Amino acid sequence: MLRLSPSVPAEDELVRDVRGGSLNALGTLYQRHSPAVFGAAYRILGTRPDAEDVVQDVFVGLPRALAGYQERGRLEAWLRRVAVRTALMRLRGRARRREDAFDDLPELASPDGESALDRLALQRRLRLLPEKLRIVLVLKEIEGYSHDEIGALLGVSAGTSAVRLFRAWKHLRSGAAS
Amino acid sequence: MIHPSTSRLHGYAAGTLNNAARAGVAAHLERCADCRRAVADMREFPAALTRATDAAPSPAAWDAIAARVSAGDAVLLPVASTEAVPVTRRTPWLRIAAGVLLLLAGAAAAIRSTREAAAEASELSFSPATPVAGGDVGVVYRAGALLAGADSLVLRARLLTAAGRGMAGAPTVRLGTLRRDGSEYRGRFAFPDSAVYAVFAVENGGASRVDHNGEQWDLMAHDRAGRPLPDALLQRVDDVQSRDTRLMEQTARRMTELYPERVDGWMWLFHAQTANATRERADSVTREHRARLQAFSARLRARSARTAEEVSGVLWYADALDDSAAAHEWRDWMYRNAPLDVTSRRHRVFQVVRGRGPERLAELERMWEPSGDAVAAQVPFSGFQLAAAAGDDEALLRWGDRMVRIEPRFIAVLARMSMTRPAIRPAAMERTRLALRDLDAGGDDRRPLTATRAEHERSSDGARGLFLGLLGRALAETGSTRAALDTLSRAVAATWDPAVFRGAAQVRLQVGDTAGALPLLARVAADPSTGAGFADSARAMLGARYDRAGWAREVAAGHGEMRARVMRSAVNLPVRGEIRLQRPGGGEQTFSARSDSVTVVAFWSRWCMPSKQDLPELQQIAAELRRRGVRVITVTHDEPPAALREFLASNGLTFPVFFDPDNAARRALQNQGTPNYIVLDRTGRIRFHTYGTEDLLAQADALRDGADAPVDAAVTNADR
Repeated sequence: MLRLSPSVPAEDELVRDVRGGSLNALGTLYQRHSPAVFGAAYRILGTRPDAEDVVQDVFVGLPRALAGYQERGRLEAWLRRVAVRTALMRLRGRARRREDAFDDLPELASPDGESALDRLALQRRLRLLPEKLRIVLVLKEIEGYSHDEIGALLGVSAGTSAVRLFRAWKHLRSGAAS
Repeated sequence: MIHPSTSRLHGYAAGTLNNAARAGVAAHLERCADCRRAVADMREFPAALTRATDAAPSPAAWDAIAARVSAGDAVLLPVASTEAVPVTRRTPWLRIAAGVLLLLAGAAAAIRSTREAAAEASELSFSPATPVAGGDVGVVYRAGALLAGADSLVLRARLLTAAGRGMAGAPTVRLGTLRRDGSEYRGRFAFPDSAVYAVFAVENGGASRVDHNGEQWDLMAHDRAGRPLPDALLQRVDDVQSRDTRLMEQTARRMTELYPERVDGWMWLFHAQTANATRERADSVTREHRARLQAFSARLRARSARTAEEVSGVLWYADALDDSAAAHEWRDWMYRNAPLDVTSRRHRVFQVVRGRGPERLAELERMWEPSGDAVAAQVPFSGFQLAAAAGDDEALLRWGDRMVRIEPRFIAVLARMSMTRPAIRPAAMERTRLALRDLDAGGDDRRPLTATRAEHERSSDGARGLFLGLLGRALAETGSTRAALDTLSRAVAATWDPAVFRGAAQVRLQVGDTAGALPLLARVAADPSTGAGFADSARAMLGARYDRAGWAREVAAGHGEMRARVMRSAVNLPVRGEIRLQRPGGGEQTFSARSDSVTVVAFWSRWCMPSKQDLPELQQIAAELRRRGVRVITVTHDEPPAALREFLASNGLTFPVFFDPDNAARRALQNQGTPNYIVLDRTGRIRFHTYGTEDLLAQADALRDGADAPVDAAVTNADR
């Protein structure tokens, strides 16, 4: 089992150690950032097994990917971007296999504030959105991508991305009203 | 009531409306609870959803990750994004903790050198990092120590098209100029339409310095959705296979993830996995792939219509896996249903080359058309190989000439091969003259991406010496003595090569010119690769001419000559910072560049094929170097010490090995990849920077004998 060592190591030291092949350092990064990576993947893919697969791939690929990582911003922000791209890749694979599922995360440990019911309600609202709209909403409103960037990621125009975003909000509104 | 549109409400929530519009929406919100709720939702929902879904993965997830990492599994993550990202490794600078410790120890100078070293690493980034073929790419280059200072630099690239590298390799082209813009260099180029993959290097105007970063700067062509094209992934697999088999495996794996239905991705993954796997693991890899081949075969069988291309992919996979039943089934289908298809003909050529029997050359002859397509163009290369293996001299010339017509650079191969056949000597001499002419005509476009102009010229000189040597000896055989001696003198002048000296000495002796043979034999004796017993043979060859003092004088002159020639390829570069390394067993060790002895530092990687092939020789040379009092340090990629120990033991390698986890040694010694051999003189300056082991003994000898001699000013200036 993983334990955070008492003297919390600095992030850049961890990054260096992970580059150097340290499994312990990778474990510490995992403990710190896997919820963010999981969340980013889950919101795009909508199923727990898929999101966990992304978490696995991201952390298995991390030692090598960190070689190209430039310490400009926060590691977590970078990890989330990587998770989003990995999840989108997986989504395309899933589209080919024609699977689509969105499952609840009922067993989640309770984060501060929201009750389990609130959380389920939030997840259900997301689930009601068609996939195309959901992806744009998540990328724009949660992950903070611009419409240009979303367009490039999804292979659509920036205008299409903007239209999808407003449709998503319209959808959410009508869902909330009904 | 007329409600504002969703986009207008969103603009209000996000604060992007102009004043008038905002006032209008605000007025509406005063009266409309529905729209107030909508705006509140737009503001709160994203954060609430994030909180509700950022959750810890199940406890088993970490166990799976740890197991995969420990097993050496690697995933190539899509880290590229639309913003400019560095494609190269960046090293973590300025470890503050270490800096403080050093300061406490009063070693302020050491900190400065660490900080200087931090500024040495170069970086090349592209925007977009996921270009489409034909698209415009912006380039930003941050120069390291190697290229800092110039006003403009040159961007070169090796380009691979979807059709592959061709027989003579991929062309290397000059893409454009990078101009200094503050602390960086900037430029643009159009990613060539025809290319799917490119590897980059930056060099100064005279090409005396080339920053190629171990050929790690590369780009693949992408589709509009930002996915690398399948052909780009395949060409990358092909291009990296000789320098990094782990990267090869990761790239092939990414291909199978992005395009799981493409059988060629799986075939390359198999090749890559077998290159990396241990023997025990190789069997299970093959089993997995055989199962996948069965699935592909079954799917193909179930289809009512198949194309030759689909069948061909499965057939190559079956051939790679040595699955004769599947190969037989699909080959049969190909030959029956699409006998004239390009892919069918390619398989036929492959079958002929792989087969047995004397009729194979005749079969290739039937497949050959002088003005045929790409498949027909492959036939002469196969014919040449078969003719050489079969010892058919006449066929060797015939196919060789056809091969050269398709790819003129192969004249060198034809010349060397045909010169080994006494029966076709006159024809072979003619080909050798053509090869020499081709060497003289070769321009800068032949220079490999990673070579400086001087390195390229040295390698041309080596080839020139070899061909002149072969030609001179052949001329002597045919009785043209004067021409032979003349040609051999040119060979001796072109290069330092004991084989050339030996050949030239033999001809001198044959014509009774013992005096002329003496300095040549003495040069052979002076070469560090020559055994001690050679002096006796030389004495026998020289007969009455031999006297001990005269021989010793000539050998000493030979040493001087060798040193002068070897020093022509010397550089004179400072070591930047410390050579700080890590012992595989743990613990740091810092080497001072200055030492009582000459130092050889070898950078190697067992994931790099050329480097791996050098290792047995490096083992011998390292032992010999240490016997001569040279300090030898070898540096490899960081990997689990247990795996490294096992690798060293199973290959009988006993030289000292260190890790370079912070890239400190890599930066200090300006290393750009593997294999790379760096020789330091006793004052601690870098004097040789080479990619092969063959000259190491001579280089170390030259420095040992003349380390305190003044540095040739011309060399230093040209190099600076």
